[in-house]
Amino acid sequence: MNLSDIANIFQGITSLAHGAWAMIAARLGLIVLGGVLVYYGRKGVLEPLLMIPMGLGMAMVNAGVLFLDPVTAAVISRSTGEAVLADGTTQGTLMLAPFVERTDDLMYILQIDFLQPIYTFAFSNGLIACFVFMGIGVLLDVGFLLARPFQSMFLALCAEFGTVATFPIAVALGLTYNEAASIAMVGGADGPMVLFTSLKLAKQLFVPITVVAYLYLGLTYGGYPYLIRFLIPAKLRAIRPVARPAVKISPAEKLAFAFVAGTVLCLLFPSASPLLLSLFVGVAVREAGLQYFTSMIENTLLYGATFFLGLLLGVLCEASTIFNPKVLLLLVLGIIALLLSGVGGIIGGYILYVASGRKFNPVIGIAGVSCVPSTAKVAQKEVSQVAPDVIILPEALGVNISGVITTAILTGIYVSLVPLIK
Amino acid sequence: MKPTAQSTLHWLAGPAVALVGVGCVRWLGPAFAGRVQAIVVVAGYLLVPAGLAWFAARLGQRAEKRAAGLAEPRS
Repeated sequence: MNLSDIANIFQGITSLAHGAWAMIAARLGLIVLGGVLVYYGRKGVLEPLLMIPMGLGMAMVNAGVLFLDPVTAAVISRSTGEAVLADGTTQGTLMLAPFVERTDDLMYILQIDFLQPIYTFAFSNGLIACFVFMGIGVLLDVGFLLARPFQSMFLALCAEFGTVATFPIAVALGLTYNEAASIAMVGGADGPMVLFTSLKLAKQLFVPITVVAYLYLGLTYGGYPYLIRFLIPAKLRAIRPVARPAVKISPAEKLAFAFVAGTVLCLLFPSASPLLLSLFVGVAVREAGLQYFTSMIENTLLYGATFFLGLLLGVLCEASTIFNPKVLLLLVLGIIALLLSGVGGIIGGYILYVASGRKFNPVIGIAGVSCVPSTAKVAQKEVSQVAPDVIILPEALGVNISGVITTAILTGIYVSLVPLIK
Repeated sequence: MKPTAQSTLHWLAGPAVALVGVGCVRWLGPAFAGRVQAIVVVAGYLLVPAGLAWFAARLGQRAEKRAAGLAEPRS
């Protein structure tokens, strides 16, 4: 038995070790990173529903690289422009070929790669993002927003600071307008919005941008408490909200709001109407009391979409797909966007603190970063640590829900206006 | 003004402001150029959330009145 026989027995190791050193290192690094995501997902530090399928997908797609047969290699090569090897083969996986676009080639790949049908028919057109948004809509209680609309909208607008400020920073650092808008959306802390914007504006970078976004969204739960403690002294965190009689908003009132807000926003941003429809149809189904639909969207659709979103994001992290010189820049810009949004929300909280005669708890501001309901829960947790009997969750949830609406508005602005900038 | 007409106007005010915002962004703004266009479009973008918040506040007031036992006039 010689070396080539051993190489034939362990084909995975042979194909992994084939190619440039940088690519081999990237593959090994991504396998390790996948393991880290699974570990922290299991421990609950990162969102397990997303991170466990994503981590597993990331590790296994990079371990599962093989030499594709000459026919498949020719199809892949036609789309990516990469030259095939001397024996007619090329490296690839049997999971997904995200860059194949020609109809004939796509029809062929759909019969080969097992995740290609879900990627082509549900991911690359934004359907999964819309399913997740329907689920969010079903979980949202807009009554919290209707109880304090101006306060909630104001704080949510302040918490879009990162989404707005990161755009010129990204352009100054060399990204195109479309790429800058896509990475700036990370500041809105809304995964489906980032996915939708990058699919519309920067399809060549949507994989790294979406992966960066979801990785960071998982970290808001761990990072924002430090930001709150750093910017707001314990005395102010313990401020008790002014007691107001509890007002019960009827389902009809919530339904009326969903109808008017959804219709007006679709009139304003036709290009974001799939996401807007998905969000408000979720709200409408919940408030109309359609229990079978609510249960179907809340359980089957939302969890199914989240599972495949995580799995596909992981599988898309194959080294040759994600290996892009701009990834490091995107990592930096993503964290700047989230940091600035958090700071903006807290500044908004301070403005209301001063305007209300020092009666408003500024921690509520950070809930404007619309990672529903994580940031609202973070705000309540930080307040509870210094004053266990102070409840700010209802106000924080109202701000959180407004954050979804303002992020949808920012998505619409970027998707509609950025392509017009010359 | 009759209470019912006043009530209807209050209900329509928020959506109307939001629709004016939509009009500024999609039709009025593009009719101008340069700085005027930018001002009209930005004003439009601000009017939309303001109008929606106004409508939301109206719905909240309705709920408060109901909680206080004061029914709204019906047309």
